[in-house]
Amino acid sequence: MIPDFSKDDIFVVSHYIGKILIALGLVQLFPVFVGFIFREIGPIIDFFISILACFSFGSILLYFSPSPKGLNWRQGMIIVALSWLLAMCFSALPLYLSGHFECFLDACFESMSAYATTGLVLIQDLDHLSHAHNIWRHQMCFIGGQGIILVALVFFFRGGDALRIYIGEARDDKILPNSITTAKFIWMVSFTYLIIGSLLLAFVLILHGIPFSRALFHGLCIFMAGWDTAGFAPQSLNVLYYHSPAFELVTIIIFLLGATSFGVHYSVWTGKFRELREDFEVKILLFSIFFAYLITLVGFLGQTAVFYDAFSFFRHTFYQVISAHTGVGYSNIYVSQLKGWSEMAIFGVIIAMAIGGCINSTAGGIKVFRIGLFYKALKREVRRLAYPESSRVKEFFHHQREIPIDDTMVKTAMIITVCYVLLYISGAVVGAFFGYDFLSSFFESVSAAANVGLSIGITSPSMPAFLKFWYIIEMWAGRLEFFAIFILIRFFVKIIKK
Amino acid sequence: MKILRLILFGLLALWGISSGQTVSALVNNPVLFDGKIVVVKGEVIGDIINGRNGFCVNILDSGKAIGVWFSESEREKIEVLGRYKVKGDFVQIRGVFYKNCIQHAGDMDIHADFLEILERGREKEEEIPFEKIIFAFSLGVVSLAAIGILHLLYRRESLPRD
Repeated sequence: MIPDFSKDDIFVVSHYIGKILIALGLVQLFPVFVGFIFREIGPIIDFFISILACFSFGSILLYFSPSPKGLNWRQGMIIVALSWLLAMCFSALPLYLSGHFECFLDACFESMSAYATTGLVLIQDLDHLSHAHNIWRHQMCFIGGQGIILVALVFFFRGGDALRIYIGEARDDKILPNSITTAKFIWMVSFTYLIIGSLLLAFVLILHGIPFSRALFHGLCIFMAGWDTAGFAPQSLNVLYYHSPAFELVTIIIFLLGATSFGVHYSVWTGKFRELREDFEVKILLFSIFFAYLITLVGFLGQTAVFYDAFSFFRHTFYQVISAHTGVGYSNIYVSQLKGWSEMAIFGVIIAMAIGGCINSTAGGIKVFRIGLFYKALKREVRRLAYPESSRVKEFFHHQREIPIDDTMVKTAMIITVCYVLLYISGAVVGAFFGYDFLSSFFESVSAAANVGLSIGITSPSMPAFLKFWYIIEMWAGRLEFFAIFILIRFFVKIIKK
Repeated sequence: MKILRLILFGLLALWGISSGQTVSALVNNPVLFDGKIVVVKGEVIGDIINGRNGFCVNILDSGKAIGVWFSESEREKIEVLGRYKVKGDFVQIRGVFYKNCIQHAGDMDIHADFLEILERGREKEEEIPFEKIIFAFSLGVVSLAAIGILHLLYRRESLPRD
């Protein structure tokens, strides 16, 4: 008999959530440090309040739920889903106290958007936001891209428990034999790229005459949100602020690195450069970007005077598509310009957003791995029908090693894909219900659920509160890939029933 | 119909030069203003970005910003850039609006030939509400108490039992 939820589950979940909240308090020391550098007293107090709230609440949870003996899969999933919600609320606190948000819901929207690496924003007067708050917005992207749990894993979890909680955060690719060493590897890669990427971006800005400290601050922010495919920027104009094709080129390299699976990064780091050429997911990602761009190009046939020369056309259209496909959401055009594109061109961007990047990367969406898997499964079925009945047909794909396709793998991929499609449609229906046209609603919904962040103009502080709430759910569910959330819902239903 | 549109554009241009446009109006109706002389008022924000034949600053007007290119001779006029705690120079500019500027790789921007500082920017005092300090202090006390209890609990758990 399957054991039902018990009081023990609540204690175990509370204990680990207490630990995660304390970790969340600790990571807020970085914006405090930034606040000290730029002499921003008000923001330091905001973060002081938030840190204390995390420590108090975390300590209370730990007080009432002493150390558990272990952790099972179900508890791991609940911890993941619930900790993302609590992290959203606690991280929204300093944002709300900054005075740049209309209400607490808007601040929660912003923090979930950052953690889920979406990039849709509701902040007001971003251009006058403090450095401390701004770095926190981007730091949340950096934490969320790797995984909130991944932060806590390194400090607070034991081996067996770690795996159960690691899987819940939509990571099923263990690069190294142990989850904690995998987490450490992911952080090592991320921090190495952080240093190189931030300096490279800062270098381009220095060439444009921006002073070193400002250039470094911008470089750091743009890298954190670009590598983690989030799409936040320190200024309201997003990437358009820099008026620099060279800067955009560097960001494209960062997008592609961010959307590549950590498995491939590991192979490259260990000298297996061949993997870049052979990994089936990388191949599909590149093909899929080309395919989505082709659709967008077809959409421009017959449209004249959208852009006046070929370079401008390529620079802006390709940037939108690659930014959409890798799940970043940076934009070098205004919303009004995007609205001027034909429906077919916008559809090309929607396709790019819906598919997303590689599995076990920082990107969102259905993921090219699953699309590739369906292609291979289809190929296998066609071959099976074409060959004599007695023959056994096998299909393999190369993902660090040759892996045979099995039905369970395809079934799981199919369930997740169906969930994504339903989530995309649900947001479109909610948007349409509030009077937005269906294509725009669908665009915004896919952008939220696939954690992209491009906007066609719906996301704004004045949009209906329920739509904000729905997009938060979409971002959360899309980032965690559903299973942890389904188990959390079941957990609450059982508690209510009892 | 064509004559009517020409008259409308002419009137718009005249109205624009005399009273100015909002940045919002420009970015939301780029086709309407493309290649026309516009007058914009707004706060200079962020950073000065150097280009090949001049420099660019972003001008913010009621929540929307746009890049404005100037010749080098105007550089000294801009002194204060808007940021946290800093209200940037409030300026009025006149120039040609481009929906896709060929000179700047297709950006939507304005090439200004006139810049006037309407109000010099200044640093603002940081306002910290007293309630916020009280709240932070109270939370600090609660937090210390919670951490203290937790510390006692762990110490009791780790003590050898008789």
